[in-house]
Amino acid sequence: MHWKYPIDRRDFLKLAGAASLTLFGAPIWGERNLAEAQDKDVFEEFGTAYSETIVTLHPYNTTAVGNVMLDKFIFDTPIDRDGQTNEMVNRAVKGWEAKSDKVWRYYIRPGMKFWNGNKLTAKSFAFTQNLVIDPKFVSPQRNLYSQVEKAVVVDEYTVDVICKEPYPAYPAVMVSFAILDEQYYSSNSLDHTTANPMGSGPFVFKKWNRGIGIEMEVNKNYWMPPPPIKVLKYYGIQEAETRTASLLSGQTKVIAGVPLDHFERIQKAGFRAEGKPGPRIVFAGFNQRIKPFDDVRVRQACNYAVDNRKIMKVFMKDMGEVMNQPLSSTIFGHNPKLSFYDQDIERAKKLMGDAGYGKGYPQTLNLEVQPGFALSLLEICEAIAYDLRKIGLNIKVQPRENADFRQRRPAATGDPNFGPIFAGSWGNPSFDPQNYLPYLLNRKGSYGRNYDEKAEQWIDKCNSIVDKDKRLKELHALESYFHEQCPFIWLHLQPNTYAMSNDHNFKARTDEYLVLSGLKKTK
Amino acid sequence: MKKYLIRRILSGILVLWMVLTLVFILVHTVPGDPAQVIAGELADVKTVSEIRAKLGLDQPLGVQYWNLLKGAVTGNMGISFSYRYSAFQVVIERFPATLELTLVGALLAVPLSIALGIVSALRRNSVFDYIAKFITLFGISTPSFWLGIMLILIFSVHLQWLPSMDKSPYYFPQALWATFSGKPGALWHWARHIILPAITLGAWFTALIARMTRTETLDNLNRPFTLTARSKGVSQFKIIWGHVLPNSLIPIITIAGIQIGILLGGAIVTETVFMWPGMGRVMLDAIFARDFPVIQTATLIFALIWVGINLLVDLIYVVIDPRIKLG
Repeated sequence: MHWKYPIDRRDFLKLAGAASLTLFGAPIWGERNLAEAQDKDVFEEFGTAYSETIVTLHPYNTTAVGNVMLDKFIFDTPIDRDGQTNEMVNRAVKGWEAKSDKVWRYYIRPGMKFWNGNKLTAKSFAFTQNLVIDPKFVSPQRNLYSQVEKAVVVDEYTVDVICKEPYPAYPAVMVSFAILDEQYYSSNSLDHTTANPMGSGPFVFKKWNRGIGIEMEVNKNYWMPPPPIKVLKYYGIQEAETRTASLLSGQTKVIAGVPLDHFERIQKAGFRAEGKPGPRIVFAGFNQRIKPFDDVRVRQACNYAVDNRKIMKVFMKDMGEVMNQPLSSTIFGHNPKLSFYDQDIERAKKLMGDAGYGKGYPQTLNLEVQPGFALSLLEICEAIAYDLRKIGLNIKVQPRENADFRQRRPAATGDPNFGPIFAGSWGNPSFDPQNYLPYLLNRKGSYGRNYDEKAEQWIDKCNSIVDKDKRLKELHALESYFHEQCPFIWLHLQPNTYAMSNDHNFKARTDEYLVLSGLKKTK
Repeated sequence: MKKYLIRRILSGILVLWMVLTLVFILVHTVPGDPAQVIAGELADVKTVSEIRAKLGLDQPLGVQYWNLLKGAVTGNMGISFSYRYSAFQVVIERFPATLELTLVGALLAVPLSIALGIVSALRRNSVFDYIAKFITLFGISTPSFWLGIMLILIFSVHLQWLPSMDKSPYYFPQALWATFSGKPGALWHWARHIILPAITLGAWFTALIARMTRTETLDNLNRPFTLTARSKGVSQFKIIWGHVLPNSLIPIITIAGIQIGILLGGAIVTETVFMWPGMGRVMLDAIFARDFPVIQTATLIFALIWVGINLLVDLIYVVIDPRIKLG
């Protein structure tokens, strides 16, 4: 009798082959599938754009916002801002503390490396700080660190920043402090480093297509998981229409500085457009040396005459915040208890009458504006002029070109007859009053047209208190003073505007930047 | 001819000197302090004055002017205030992009406009003539800014056929070389980036040359030499190619030459709209930043090109029309 096997030899071999494949091949297939899945979550190319052409890649040769945005990709800064909560979060440091009123101690995060393999240590931090304040280097950012005397290395990962006087804003300024590699930046010429940066950031610099943008590749050795992008392109697109078109045509995935009147079009095309209150405030200042603005009642009348809530609604699409003092709610020192100057024409007219201008002011007054300084600024000035005519002030809106406006503006060196009203805008990523008040309301600053010695001394006092609570109390009192004195027509806090494609989770940020940590591909 | 050339070169140098002097006066007259622009919003008075000294702006104007003239002769036009390297290098590294855009724009425009002009003249008052007139009128009256944006909206945003901005990393010869050395997509990559800016730049040029060609062709069609040729039984094709076109070409070349110069200088708008990294944009940025060395260098190069093109046009006259004698 011939015994029959339940399966023949061929079937046995097939089954054995399949079993072997399952046993030994599964991990290989699994790995491949995992790799494919991971690849699906990674952008091969990711384009971003802002409105400034990049003219240098040295972080301390410029004060351009576009450069700080770029620095966040290329370099590491001690801290970042959380884009949603605006809280300071550690990046290149583990922490910091005030050792005394004049000494800040920073603890560098160990294990960080520049792309060339050099370690990022306390020496790198100290070198960078000392370079910025070096008079021979003449950095445009030097004034930001004018209170710093020197930085001293304590040990490999600890550095002390010694200040000439108390400098409470120092930790907040660290958001734009790109840490440099000492060896690279001290052994190469400025000509070289201007075009060839050496950083430690999440993206490695590859190419500068001058006049177009910068191409970077992901830093595979980054100390934390880098954003899921293989090639990052950063474009400096000045023309807003072209910037928006770059998003709609798929060449970029996130654009910043989007005009608010583009929002509807972008959203209709199936993209996201968002605004978030940030650091940039907008105001119309008075030259208090020129009549009738030497009288506080006239300045208050102007505040009651201008409908800043309507301006916010019409021009800012209600995405910003109406203001009533020099510091917005996003900036440390803002006093939330102060009342708003809501439009009240009758009250404004009474104040004008009390000041002796019941029948209005006989001469035409210029409202000087550099239209590109803030969103819809020219239109906002027209609205202000319209409202001020209601109380007898005949305003002529006078647009000025950027360099011209900047030259005329400072109280110390500019045109004494500047204005007498001028539209201004100011923003600083530190969100600290020290980088607002002295520039806006001190004669040594960029504006300082209030010529108020008492206020100047008060600002200096606020900027020398290291204790946070005491400083806040003093700032609240100072804000009340300014609220009453009205050196400006309080307008609004401008939203930071962004537009994005729908295949990732980037959201509008408080800090104006394009920080991509936490980015995820969603489609 | 030799004397003529020497005279033209000398007058060219005089023109360049005048242009440089005028630009120097202008940049120092207009309000705005370059040191303040570079120093940014945060700088104090001390930093601004240090930057001014570093840039050499604290020197007397006479010294600055002398340095400019010396630099123009030696090719050392100073360091760009914004870029912090040689102003000549800043400008010259953008020159190929502008030249390429201008040449492609002109190459698209010239054959099309001449063909349009001739056919329009031959079929005068026909439907084709009216269509051609409409196209030329559209081309002349449409601002390049608007046309560029429209082309972007249609071809980049809606159809998504072509990129809205940026330039291919290749120039034409590189793209051609790459195509034949194993990168078949290189030429297409180059073409799809340049086509929209080139059309935008060339639109006005096309319209102008087409109108000019039409007028000249109509004029020459009624000249005695055309009638004689016709009476001798010469074919229409030969009349057009052998007699009418060569006679029409002289004013067309004059205008085309001047217009190519204008295109080179006038690419600013097109370059801005399409983010084309050319000289025009460098010049515009330099004006806003009060980057004097770059403004002066770019102007000098534009003027040099202008003088060169005019000389070239005059020399081409001799080749085309043997009746013209130079000198």
